[in-house]
Amino acid sequence: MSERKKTPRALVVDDDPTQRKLQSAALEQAGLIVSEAENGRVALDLLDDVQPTLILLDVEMPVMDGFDTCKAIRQQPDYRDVPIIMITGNGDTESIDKAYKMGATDFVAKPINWSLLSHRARYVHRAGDASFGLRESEAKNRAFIQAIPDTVLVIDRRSGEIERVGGGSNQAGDSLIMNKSRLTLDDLPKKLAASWRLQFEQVLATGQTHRGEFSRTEGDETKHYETRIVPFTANRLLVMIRDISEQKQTSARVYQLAYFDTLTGLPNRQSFLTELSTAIRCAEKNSTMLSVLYLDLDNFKRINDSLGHSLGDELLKTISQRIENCIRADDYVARLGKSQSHLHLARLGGDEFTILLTDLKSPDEPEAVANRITDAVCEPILQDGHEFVITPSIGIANYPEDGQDIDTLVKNADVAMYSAKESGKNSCRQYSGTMSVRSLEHLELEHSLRRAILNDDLELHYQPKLSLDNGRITGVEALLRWTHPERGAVSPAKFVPVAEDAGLIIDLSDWVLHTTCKQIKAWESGPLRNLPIAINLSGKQFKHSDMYRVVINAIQQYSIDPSTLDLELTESELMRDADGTIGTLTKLKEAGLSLIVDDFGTGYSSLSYLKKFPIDALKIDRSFVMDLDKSDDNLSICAAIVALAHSLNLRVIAEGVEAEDYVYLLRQIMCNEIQGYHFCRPCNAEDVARFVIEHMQQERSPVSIEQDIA
Amino acid sequence: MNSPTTVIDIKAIEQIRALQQPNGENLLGTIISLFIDESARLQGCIAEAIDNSDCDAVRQYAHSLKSCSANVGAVEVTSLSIALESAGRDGELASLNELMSRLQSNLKTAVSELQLLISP
Repeated sequence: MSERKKTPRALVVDDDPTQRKLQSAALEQAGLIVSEAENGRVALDLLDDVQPTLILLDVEMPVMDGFDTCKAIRQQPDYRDVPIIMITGNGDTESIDKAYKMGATDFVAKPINWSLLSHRARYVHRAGDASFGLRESEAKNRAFIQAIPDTVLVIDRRSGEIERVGGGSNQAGDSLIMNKSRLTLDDLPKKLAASWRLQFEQVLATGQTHRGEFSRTEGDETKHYETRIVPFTANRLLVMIRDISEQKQTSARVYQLAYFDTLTGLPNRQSFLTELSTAIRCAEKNSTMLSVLYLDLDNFKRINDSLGHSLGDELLKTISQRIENCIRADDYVARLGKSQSHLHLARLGGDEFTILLTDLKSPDEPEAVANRITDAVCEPILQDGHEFVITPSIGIANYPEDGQDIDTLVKNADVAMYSAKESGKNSCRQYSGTMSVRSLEHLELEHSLRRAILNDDLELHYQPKLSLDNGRITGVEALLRWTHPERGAVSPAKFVPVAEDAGLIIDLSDWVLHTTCKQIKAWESGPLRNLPIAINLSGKQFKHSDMYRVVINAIQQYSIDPSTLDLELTESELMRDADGTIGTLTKLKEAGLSLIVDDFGTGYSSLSYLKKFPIDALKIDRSFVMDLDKSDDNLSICAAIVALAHSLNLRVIAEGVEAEDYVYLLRQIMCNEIQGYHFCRPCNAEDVARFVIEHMQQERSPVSIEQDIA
Repeated sequence: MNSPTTVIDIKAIEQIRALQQPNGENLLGTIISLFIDESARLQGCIAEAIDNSDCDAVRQYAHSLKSCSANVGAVEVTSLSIALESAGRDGELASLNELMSRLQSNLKTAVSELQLLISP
């Protein structure tokens, strides 16, 4: 359209050359660029070259007269809207009528007043321009309305009449608008019509677009619509309706995923932190109290590890349901009769939950809530034919006295929870500033341990075992060492329980397994080839169904000889699920590994099982070896174990051998191997290699060499 | 304007002059030359049509001459063209020859009058 404005061009069509010339002169005076044609045929041929913005057509012409020419021009889409002025005879009303019928825009009667023609041309041209612009913008609007996924209505606010002006096929609100030919606001749902009427007034008063939403049940689903109400004329409004159901569902789903736990449907950690942050601000403003209850299920990780996650998940669902039931607001209000406190339950992850109490009415409330939750959780749960009694430990931290920000409150509630656990579990503790440093220590250890596993801050030390039968070193036991960056060496007795509590034991065992395999591989090409390394398997890992796979995969990964890997498991772990264990152990044994029962004598062995287990050796618990030279009882026990083992064709290893006297006694009772400070302390790979090689060299008397060769 | 004339309507000439662009070609001169050529052509066509007794052709050419002569204010030529057009339309062959001879003399006069208007 802008191009049209730059170059207004006229096409003058007349068979009379004087007429053409004069018309041209008149139009040029009006500022148009003029082309001429002596008849309609020529004019049609010239159209695309000239692209006229105004056409003057004589009625009577040879070849093709003005009417036919006008009609032919109008049939071309590009020239449908070009103004055409017909030049007619004076008083020839018939021609004038015909001209309009053929699509002429205007007429001028002869004789022509040339200066008037120039004005006329200018005016018609401008009007043509304007109407062209209008038509173009109408066309644009039509295309736009077709393209948008909205139902577009024009509503008259007085009559309530609704006109559907647009929208393609994919129409939101089809069901709402129905396919009635005549529709008014009264045909719409009453509530919707009433709210629209209000919004119409507002929109017309302010001239601002109103954006709203409404929902409807259509069939068995709820549909959501967005409306935009735009002022149109003084009494009419444009209402655009868009189906946003899908968008709503997606955002609800995203919200659900971001703020809710998928297993229990409870709010998650993120949700809890958001809630707590708001609650703290509110408590600060109104000088009210709030409380954070931190709940952890006692020994729950053991259930997960031993009975599988799916059962654990079921239990978690049941428990979260119970907690939810007992803190449900109505219930709670009813019980207390007066309190209006608000509670917010969230699952932080694993078996950890938080309960946020806001607007506390009494300082005793948190503990009352905690006790009710404890009672509810402790009720026996029947699941998969087993009865479970699961107890919670709950820590309480109050705002403002125990912390004034999110981090402090949550940390102190956590500390209080650990304190509750340490005091024997199944209890509830209120945080206090003097709360045992050990809880903090426990937390701190857990964090450091996680870091240590990631950073490879752990190390294996190795302690050789000596055969009393032939004086040779039969193998080494790998022992886990952790040097904490600040505390120095941390005893496994201290960090292994932390690892077990925190669910890190599997990671830890994996690390030990892989490091050992690497070491075996490293020794394979030197004098220490065939020197077995024993690793201690955690009972937790042992219950892990993939245990066999994990070990075999590691052996294959490092392509080591399976006979160089010994597994040690404690007696009590072995017996916990004796039937299940036998299968796994048998497969490992068949794969070529040696199996040693650790800490023998402290557990509760069934002799019949002991016979069934595919084991190679028993290791007498150090407590029996400890005072061997002073305690006749211990000596008797050790002798009995040796006798028992031998009767089952098992070797016997004594650990914790600290003095030469012990060695003598153990030799007396026919113990096969010893391990202990007396012979060699646990030391790193390099030192133990040196020790073993030296020992081998010393031992290589001519006799033993012969034995070797033999 | 150069000389008072009875065969040419001076108002028509004034209108043409009013369309003259300051630096454009001599519009009146052009129009008068165009008229002289066109009127001669049309006169020939009409004469031929009369010889052929083609009334519709007479009507058509006379119509053209009517518009053309009106533009230069050749009022008598215009009147005679109208008469010829209407006789052609009505098929009055009989009156055509008489009208034609009047047209010829009137056109001759008008052309010389017009030539005077544009002679330097």
